[in-house]
Amino acid sequence: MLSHSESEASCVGTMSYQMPQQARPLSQGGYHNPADMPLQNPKEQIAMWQQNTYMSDSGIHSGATTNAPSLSGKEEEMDAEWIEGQTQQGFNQAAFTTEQVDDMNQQLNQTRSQRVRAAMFPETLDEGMEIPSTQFDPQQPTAVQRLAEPSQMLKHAVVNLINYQDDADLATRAIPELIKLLNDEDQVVVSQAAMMVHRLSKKEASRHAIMNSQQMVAALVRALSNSNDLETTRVTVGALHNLSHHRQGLLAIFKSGGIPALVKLLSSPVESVLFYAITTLHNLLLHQEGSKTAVRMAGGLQKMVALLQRNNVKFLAIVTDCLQILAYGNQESKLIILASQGPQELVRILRSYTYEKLLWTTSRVLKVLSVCSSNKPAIVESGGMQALAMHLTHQSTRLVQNCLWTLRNLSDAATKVDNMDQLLQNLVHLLRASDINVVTCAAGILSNLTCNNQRNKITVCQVGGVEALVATIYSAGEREEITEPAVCALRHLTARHPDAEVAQNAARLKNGIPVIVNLLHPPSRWPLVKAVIGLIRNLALCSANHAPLRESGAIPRLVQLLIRAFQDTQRQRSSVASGGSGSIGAYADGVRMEEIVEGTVGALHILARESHNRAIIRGLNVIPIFVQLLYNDIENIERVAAGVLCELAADKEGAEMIEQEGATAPLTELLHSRNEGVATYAAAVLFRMSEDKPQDYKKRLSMELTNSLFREDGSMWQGDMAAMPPDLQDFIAPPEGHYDPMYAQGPPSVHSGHAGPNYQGGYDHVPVDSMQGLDIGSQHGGPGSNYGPIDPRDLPPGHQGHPDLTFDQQIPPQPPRDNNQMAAWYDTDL
Amino acid sequence: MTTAAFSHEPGTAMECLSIPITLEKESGIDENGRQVLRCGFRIGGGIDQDFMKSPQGYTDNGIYCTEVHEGSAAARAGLRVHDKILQCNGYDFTMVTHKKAVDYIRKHPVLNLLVARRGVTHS
Repeated sequence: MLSHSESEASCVGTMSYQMPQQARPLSQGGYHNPADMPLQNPKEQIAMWQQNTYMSDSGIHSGATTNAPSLSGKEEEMDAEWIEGQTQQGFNQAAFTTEQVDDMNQQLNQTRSQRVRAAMFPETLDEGMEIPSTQFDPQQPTAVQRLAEPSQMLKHAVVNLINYQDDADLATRAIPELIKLLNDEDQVVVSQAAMMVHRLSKKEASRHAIMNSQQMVAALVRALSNSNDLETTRVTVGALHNLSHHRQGLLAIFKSGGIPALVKLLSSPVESVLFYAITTLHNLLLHQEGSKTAVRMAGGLQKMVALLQRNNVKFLAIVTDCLQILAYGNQESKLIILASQGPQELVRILRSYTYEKLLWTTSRVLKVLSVCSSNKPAIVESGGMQALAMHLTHQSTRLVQNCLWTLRNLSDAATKVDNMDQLLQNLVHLLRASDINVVTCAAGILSNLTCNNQRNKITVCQVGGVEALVATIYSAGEREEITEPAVCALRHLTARHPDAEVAQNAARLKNGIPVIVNLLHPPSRWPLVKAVIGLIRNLALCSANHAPLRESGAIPRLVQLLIRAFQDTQRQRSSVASGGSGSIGAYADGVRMEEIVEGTVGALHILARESHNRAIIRGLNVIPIFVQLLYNDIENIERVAAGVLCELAADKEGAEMIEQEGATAPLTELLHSRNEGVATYAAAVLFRMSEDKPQDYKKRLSMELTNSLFREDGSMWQGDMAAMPPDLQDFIAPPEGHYDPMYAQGPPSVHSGHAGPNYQGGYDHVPVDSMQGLDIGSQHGGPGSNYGPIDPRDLPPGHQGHPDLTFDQQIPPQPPRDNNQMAAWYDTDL
Repeated sequence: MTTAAFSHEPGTAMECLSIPITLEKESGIDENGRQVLRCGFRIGGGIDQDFMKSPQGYTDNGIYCTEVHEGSAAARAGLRVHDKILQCNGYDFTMVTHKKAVDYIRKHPVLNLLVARRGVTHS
């Protein structure tokens, strides 16, 4: 006996079948032209048919209405006998007499037509009719049963065709008439005709007839443009809307110039008209080639932006999708949207609504606009960053991803924005997401937002950004698209803001140092390596990090990179010098080797504050390179080279090695550098190198130094004195051996053109804040302005007491630090 | 580098706009009958003075013009009250004592001054 479930199992391809949910016309009474159906898997179609057939329970299959007690009884008997252990396959050999068999045969013959009718037209069966079944073997369906399915399908198809044909005929005959009526001068006639067309357009066959008639569509469009009464407009645009669900319809509308007419309707105050118009335009934009240009030319963009002020969320979703389609890849459209105040409206929508589809389409428009350099500042100024941040915790992945992409595009224009705390917190949270794209974007955005922005740096540190970034670097492994922005962000966080030291410590406490140093090795590419070098330099600012950095082998690797980069630059230079056509500077992966040289030497400079590190550096035989770098053209490189030598010269061995490399000559040259830092460090190194030289050498050196450091103050000294007073030398040469040359008495300059010794971090203009300002304070604590009070012993005799007089002649004027010496305020007549 | 010319810390680098003024002193007779060259203005300030005590409310230790006599050479040259003198004949006036400034001004018959003026060179 065939059961319901068995028949389903014998269907073809029903694995993933679902009941059709769309308003597609189905066999239940609608018209069904397979050729026009939105393309479907043929198997699916069949499955749908089959499902429909089975749903309408036909008696044959379930056997439910089949009530042939005698036969069923026999069947039962047969089954029972079967169950009783008949092992024979195939026919059950029951014991029947010939008469009984003949009788059965006759009965079956007579009822054959009934069976066929039941198979093909189950709806025509009378209730309760008993039809004997010819099925002997429950496993084997009879021929009629097997043909039941296909014949039902055939039946439905024929029925549809008949109905369809009727409609098609109707439409074909009516259309020329309708066209004439639509073109009539009398508006009432036009109105009636339009209503008729609208009705016809709702049905499949007639819709096709309409679409296929170019004249009809043209007449509709004309009627639309000329219409001045609401009802006509409404039905006409409704008809066009119905047509727009099919390709021929779209083409016909487009060719009849429907787009300008529809765009005009976008100003309509009537909601239904508006909705029809925008939906039709949306379909055109989605599927009809050439619509985008036509909409743009008809001024559709401005109107659509104006429509953003409405408050129906589904409507807004369509409008924003239209805007996205129009703006994608078209600079002019983006500018028009900007000019129509688009960014503000879009940001407002993001802030005000919660309908996911709308938020998603809006974020896509913003994403498209965010690559336009004119739109970027407008979006940022309208609070776009904060609005996008609101949705970073949304459930919808596509929304979050689009917001992140947009934020990343905007982030380099948003470095001066306030109220970013929520955004930064969300981003730090997203660093732990499981989706790689999300993590990549979050790291990139954090890197941009922390660049040169103290407030953001502090916020990120406070919400645990350093820890999160270290964890991100750990889990990213070799994925440079994540590690590079993460390292850059850490680099920003570890310098130039009040909590920098906290960050430097936090990186160590999270065991970040080994994994960071590891990134200096292959397969890291140069951009990542450069970022890591800068980060190591910042981490080394914290003395507690010196040991871990050393133990991770940072120093040998840095020296290795330095040597490699240095050799590349030398090679480049010699190839240029020998007439090669090399470009200026050796590049690798877009990174100049000079930058690597500067970075590594800068990092070594800070690392060299610690004595063990210095020992290692000395042992790596890199001092010759440092000395070589003193001859470099680039001031920054000279400065860091002089700086690292300054640190190394603190130890006697270091000082000796430096001198042996012949550093004295270039250092003396550098005393005359116009760069304050370079001159300062050079002077310091020379002093340290001269520690155990004889006294007269020291004096000569100090005179030389004083001369060169004071050289630009000639205007001041000329008028008052012929030669440097001998006591000034006493200022420079130390009474005891140990002093900090820059902070002794005798400031190097009084001219306000000089920066003075307080040379602290003049690198705010560097967008990538890699280099910190000078600090020489390796042994002497932090730099500070310690112009000490003048020791009266040092004054030349005869000029005691009056600050005024003594200031005049011999001693360079000092900014007064204690108020005792200041007179009350007075003025003088001249 | 700071561009705040009126809150300048002496000894630090500064960059600002300035007005050049050429002042030719006129001869006159002082109370003792001697020939003197007169400029016609008063200066106040200097690094040895406390600007907080200035009645005019100056905000740093620079040299300021506290008065310009009517019809004098200074007035004709375009000097105005409360101008801050940045430079005189090439000599830097942002870090000088009061006496020094006076000496320098008295020294030469023609003064080439660079001044900063609120509302003109700075807002």
